[in-house]
Amino acid sequence: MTATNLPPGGMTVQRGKRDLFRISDPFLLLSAAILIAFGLALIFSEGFSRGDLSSFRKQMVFFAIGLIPFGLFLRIHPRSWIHLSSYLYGLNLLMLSAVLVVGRRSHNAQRWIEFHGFEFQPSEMAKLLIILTLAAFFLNRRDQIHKFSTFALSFLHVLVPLVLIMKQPSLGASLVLLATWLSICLVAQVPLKFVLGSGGAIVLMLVMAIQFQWLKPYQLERVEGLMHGNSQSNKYQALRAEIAFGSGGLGGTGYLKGEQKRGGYIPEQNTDFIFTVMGEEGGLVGCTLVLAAFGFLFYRIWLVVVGTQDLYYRMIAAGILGLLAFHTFVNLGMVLQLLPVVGQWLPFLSYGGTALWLCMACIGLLLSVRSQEIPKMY
Amino acid sequence: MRQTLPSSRLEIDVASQTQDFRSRSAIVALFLVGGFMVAGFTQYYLQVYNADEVLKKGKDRQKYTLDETVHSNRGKIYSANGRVLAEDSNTYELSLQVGHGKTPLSHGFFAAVSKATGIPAAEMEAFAFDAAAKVKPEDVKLPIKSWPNPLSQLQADEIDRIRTAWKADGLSTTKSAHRSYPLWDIASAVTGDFEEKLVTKQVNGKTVSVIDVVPQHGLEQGMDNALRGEDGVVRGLVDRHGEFLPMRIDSSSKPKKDGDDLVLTIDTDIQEAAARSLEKAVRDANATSGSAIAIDPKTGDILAMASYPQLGTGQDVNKVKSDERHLGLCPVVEDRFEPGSTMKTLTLALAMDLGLVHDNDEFTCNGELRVSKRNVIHCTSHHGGIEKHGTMHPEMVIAKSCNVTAARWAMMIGHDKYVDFMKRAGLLDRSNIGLAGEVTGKYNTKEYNKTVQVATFGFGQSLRLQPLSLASALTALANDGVRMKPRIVQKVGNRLVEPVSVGPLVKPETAHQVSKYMEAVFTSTSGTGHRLQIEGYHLAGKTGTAERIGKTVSGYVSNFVGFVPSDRPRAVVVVMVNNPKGERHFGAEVAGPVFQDIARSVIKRYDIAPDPALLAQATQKRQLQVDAKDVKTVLAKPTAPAKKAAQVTPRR
Repeated sequence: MTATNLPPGGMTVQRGKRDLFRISDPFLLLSAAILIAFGLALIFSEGFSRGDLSSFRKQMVFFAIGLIPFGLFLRIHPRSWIHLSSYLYGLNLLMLSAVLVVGRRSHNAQRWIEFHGFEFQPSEMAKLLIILTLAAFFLNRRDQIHKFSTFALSFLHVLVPLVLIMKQPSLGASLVLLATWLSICLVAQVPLKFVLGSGGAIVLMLVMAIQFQWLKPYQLERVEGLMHGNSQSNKYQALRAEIAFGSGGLGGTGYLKGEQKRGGYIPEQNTDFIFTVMGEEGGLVGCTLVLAAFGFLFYRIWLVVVGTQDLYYRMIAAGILGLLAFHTFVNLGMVLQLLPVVGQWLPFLSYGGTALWLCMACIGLLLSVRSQEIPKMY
Repeated sequence: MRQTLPSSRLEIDVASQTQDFRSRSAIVALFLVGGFMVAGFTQYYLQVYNADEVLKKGKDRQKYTLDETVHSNRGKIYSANGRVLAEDSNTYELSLQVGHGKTPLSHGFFAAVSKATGIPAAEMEAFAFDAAAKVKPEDVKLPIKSWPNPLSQLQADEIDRIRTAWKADGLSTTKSAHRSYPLWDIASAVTGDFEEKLVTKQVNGKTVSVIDVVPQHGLEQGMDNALRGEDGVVRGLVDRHGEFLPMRIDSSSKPKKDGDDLVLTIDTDIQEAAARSLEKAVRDANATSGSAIAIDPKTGDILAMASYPQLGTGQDVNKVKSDERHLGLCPVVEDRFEPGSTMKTLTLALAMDLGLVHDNDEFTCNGELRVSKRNVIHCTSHHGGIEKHGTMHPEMVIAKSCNVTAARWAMMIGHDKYVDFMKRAGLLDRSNIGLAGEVTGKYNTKEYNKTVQVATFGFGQSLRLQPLSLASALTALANDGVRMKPRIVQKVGNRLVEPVSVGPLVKPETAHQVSKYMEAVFTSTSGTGHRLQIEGYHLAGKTGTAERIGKTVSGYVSNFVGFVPSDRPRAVVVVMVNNPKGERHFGAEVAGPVFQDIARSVIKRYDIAPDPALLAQATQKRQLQVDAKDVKTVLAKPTAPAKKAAQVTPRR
């Protein structure tokens, strides 16, 4: 069966009720499950050292709740989102605006909406919504994909939520949106010069922002900390992380035995710096295992990207790949002191409900997409 | 098949786009692989290749690897009967370090600390806000301030709680150096104290002068090495709350070593009697200072060692210009005085020991002795005139305190032998028993006319001695001629300090003989200490009233030395009152009563039984006096029993 022979309207595999639990890509699911298991183990270890397992228990609950978005995206036909894209876009803007009005402030930023004891970050949801709406947008204009106007409009599409997120402020989430946008552009056949050009422009902007101090003081300090390494409070987090890695060495100190962790030296260790727990307790071996799990996950997603013949699916898969990969690499870069501390969680591993739900939703969506494509394509 | 859904099939020219798409997916793959490679390489670099360097960084930062000094407790000082003379008071001091977020700059925080300590919040805020504003990001040394207000253990615990609750690393309590002396007013000469002093210190390789609180005087300074102990160091990783992680205490850590407790030979009952009586004597006689020492001659144990004024109060008491050199000193060991006539006992002991003077020898005093062209030695009466003592045995020379005869004995002995004797008696040395600031006895070694000098030595002039050394020398006369090294500390921690004999100073017979003569000071009606007798007890003693001769000094030193009791001495007592300026200045009048009080307390303390024969005599004598009064007859001549009471000196 060749692709050209397929009838218009896309290829879908008719599924019966018994297909409800059939998983289109068990390897993708497995790699995600491994990462979640790693995350829970590390959060347990981090809490164990403090004698406070509440974050571990909460994360278990978050995981259980996360099965809902996972199931939802797994079950809902991915094409349904195309019709809903205008509403999704509106919902996105609404939530992002709402957080600026009724949100809870923490760490100098207003990012959280509290709802019956559960906290929710609309900016996390925006990351997934923007993938869906942007893919729909490109789909609509796929005849004019080569035009600059399409590219410019797509930027505008991203820009509105971007501005709202910047107002929180959340530099990290803003950058994620841009990275997602660029990765979707890349697979949407937008001319390479546009993609690479704007990518370069973003990097240039960032450099200039640092140079001319456009950033919030705390953001700038983090950058300064990285550049000069003498700003005690800001360099501190990253430095402690470095020491954790150093003390882990090749084989690590052993599970639950980390001392840096035990001492509680690393602020926010269970969220953004969760990888340092593995760094210390698992050493290079443990870290490599985690990296391998990520590599395997990205490989499976990459397979979805290149395997599908469907532009919409491809864009969604590429958007998710961009989102997760950007998060992963920025987080690792930050923890390993290659990048400033910008507060990016590590997918599946970091403590936090919204982040975990987003990741699980992404996996659900990917599995759903995978199940739509023609089998044995590759 | 859901036809309603829009199609996004890549129906357009899949073949032509494959090439382009492949390069695009290659970009994606490149990004991913590149990302993993960078992450992996960095990981390897941090964890394996450069791990040591990374760990060193952690140590250099020291933020969570701490050096903490664990202060040792200073040893206590106990008296022989178990009373505490000096101990650390268990108080703490508050310190606040600001900058780099070490202390939260919040009014609530300072209010909490203020509530716990009683230190006004405004005072702390004034420091904290001001100092924190001046801290630069690169500053390593942060401003710190301490408040001297003593805090109790409970308050210190509360501060610990506040530190945890507010995550205030800069808040700390340290054990303060407050030391308490429960018996300060009677035992200051023994313990010494802590005083502010300008000292030079090595700080980071530089010598700087700082005002520090250091032990001064007495045992605090003298036994500082034993009392001080060693501070410990805990070095290792701490958690965010500053608690050390037990598994990571560095091997270079050192446990603290508390200072040793001292158990003294001082008996607080005798000490108190000595101190109170001395105080009264010094005040009554309007004197500059005074010392009183009681030593057990058998062991050399110092039973009491009092001085007045107490340390640190010297400035206020009866100050005259000529006494400035005495100010601020503990007179018992830190100052020297003319022993005066008390020295005659030692002169006689040496002369008899050398066979120059015998019990039956007779000496004639006509009031003066010309020892050189210019120098004439006098015997002065209480009224200032020359007193001729006439012809007498050695016993009366001591009892009447004849200068002329004593000078003659000393000249018979000769200068060299006399000085050698003083050296053997320890009069020219420090006792080195743990007391700080001891001085040695002194005389003018460059004196041209040695004959005159030794003649004056004979009755305790031209010679200044540290009171303790005089007391120590006299123990030989009360201990069968054997001098014991004085001992004030009998136990350092668990280590016993044994009594040490210095060896025989004079023959036992000589010691007995001189001691017997000294009884006459009390028993003889013409003895200088006749009025100081204690009913029922044999006492031996010698008065001394030395003239302070020098360019800047004048006046007298009133002395009294004695053995309690003389037949089996439990204590050798030396009392010196420096520069009494009242009408009375004679040793018997000024220092004598102090001796008597100390003697009484020694008798009471050791339950020394009175001699029944003496008691009977005294009763009889009193009865006679009463009878005499009743019949209003004046006895021209004492009746036989009364006469006997005055003369008989039963011994052993």
